[in-house]
Amino acid sequence: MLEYITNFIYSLIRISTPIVFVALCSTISQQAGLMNMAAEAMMLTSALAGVLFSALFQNVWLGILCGMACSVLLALFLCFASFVMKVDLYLMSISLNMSLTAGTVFVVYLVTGTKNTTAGVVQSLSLGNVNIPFIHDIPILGAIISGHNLFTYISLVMVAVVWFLLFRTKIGLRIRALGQNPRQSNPLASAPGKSTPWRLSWPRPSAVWAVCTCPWAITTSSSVILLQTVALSVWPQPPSAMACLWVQR
Amino acid sequence: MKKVERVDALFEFLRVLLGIIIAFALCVVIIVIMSGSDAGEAVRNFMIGPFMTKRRFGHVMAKWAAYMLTGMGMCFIYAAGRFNMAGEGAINLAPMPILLIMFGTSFGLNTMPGLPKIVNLIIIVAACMLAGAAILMVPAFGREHLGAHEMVTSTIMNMFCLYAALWILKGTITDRSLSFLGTPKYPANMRFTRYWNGTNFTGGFWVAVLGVIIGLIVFYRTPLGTKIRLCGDNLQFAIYSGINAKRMMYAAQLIGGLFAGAAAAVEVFGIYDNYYLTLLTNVGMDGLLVAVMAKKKPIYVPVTAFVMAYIRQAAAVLNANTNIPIELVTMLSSVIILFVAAEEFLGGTRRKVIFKISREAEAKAQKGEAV
Repeated sequence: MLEYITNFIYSLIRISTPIVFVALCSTISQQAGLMNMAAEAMMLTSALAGVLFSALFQNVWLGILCGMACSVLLALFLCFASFVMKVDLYLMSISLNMSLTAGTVFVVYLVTGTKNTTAGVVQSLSLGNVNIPFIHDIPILGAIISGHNLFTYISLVMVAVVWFLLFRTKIGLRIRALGQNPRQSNPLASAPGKSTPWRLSWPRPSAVWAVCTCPWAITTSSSVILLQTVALSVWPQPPSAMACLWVQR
Repeated sequence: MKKVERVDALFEFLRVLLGIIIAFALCVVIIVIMSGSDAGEAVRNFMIGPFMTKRRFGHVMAKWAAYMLTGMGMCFIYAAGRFNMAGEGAINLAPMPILLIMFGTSFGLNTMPGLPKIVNLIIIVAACMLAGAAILMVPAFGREHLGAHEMVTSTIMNMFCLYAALWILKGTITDRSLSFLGTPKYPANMRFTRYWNGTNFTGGFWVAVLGVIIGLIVFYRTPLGTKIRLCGDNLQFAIYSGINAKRMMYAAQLIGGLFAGAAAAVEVFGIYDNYYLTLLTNVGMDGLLVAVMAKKKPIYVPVTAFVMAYIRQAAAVLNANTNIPIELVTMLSSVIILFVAAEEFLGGTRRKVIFKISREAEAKAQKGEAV
């Protein structure tokens, strides 16, 4: 029974890792007054790119970096489409979601010849699990919080980082000011369409969470992640991202 | 001023036309590169494939009908400044009550087959509309009374609707003799007639046409439509001018639900011979795209709905007839959407021309003053 409980809480934390990251992403864009519905598309792209590039370079960190770069590129494209070309943000996000849900399958098909999985054809890598030295030996606590994937610990650090970014830095202040009143923050920069926060508010979230999603997201149901994330992003404070530990299940 | 407006309209027309041409050209180039040998065939399938046979065009008509209805509904919801996407799930769940009546009660099993077809269809569409409205009221209630963001709740509602429909189907009216999950076949007088010798072009299309006409009238020519638009455009002004904004929000989402329900009836009782949906149909999401492409103006919905139906059908035709996988075509359709919806496309030139005309007019006016 005790083992069941510890296993349960362990898997709770394990499963919520990608959600923490994508919740951080949504939190930042929510703070900037935008709803990042394309997170689903970005996650899928990053996940695929992470897998493919880690197999290509046989280096997990390079793979992660490429995964991040992919979703930053996607975020910049979304920026370009919605702020420069003035396509409706929701329209672009939804059509990006639809096209990349198909597009990732298409790339998998090009690479492997099947539409199902990259397993067996692409020798991708993943980050290993980490045992924390002393905590590992504590009876129940050790089984719960030790031995997770490295990303789980990175995600916890990232919550603090994003909190610092949003509430203790200049750029964070600008993002929040812009989110609360786009017109008021004009003095910060010349025009809403051209001010730095508008541009930065998009790449940053993706950069933050793309760190994680590469090897992880491919194994989990991403639509569930999106739903949870959107639900969480309603809450403004970044630490609320932690709450998805409890929302999941 | 007249000249400026004319130039503006011309540029608007050019923008959409050039956008579509560029997008299609881009798609054709990509298709030619990907498909290699049978390039001509691929292009032919993609460009005019949906019009080549009656059967394919029937598919376009069926999709057009459903998109017109969902797009019109989304226009109302958008006009009130809400973002209720539960219309997607309504396609699956809204036909459930009438299906329960059709296959589960003595009225449906004994009385309805004897009724004239038109009466049955009216009952079916009305029941679906009511159910659709009820479904969309859930996120609406959450938003207006409890403060839960309706986009979040409606996204989750879609999954709920799918599984609730499956659960009801499994527990009650599924036909055990089928090898898959589905109801018995609809009796011939309880479904829309298929035209053109059994294609997907059905009598449901007339429901869509009627819906569009009623929607347009309500939106542009009634106090209700005006109030809804006012609430969306400027909520403060609407409240201060004495409009019950909360009620208008409810009304908009109710109308959206009615349209979603009608779309569900057209989809389920038109295209299919029995109810066997086990996945979300994406009709609601495409309806959202239709509404946004129409710039949230119902008057353009029939056109954008047709474009959308054509794109989707072209993708299906290409997938069936060539070696190009459907995923590629789905990607390309988002390119088309991007170009159609890009409002700043040609924006620089447009502004330049309009500035020039305005300055000339101003200079002329000043000269006139001086003289």
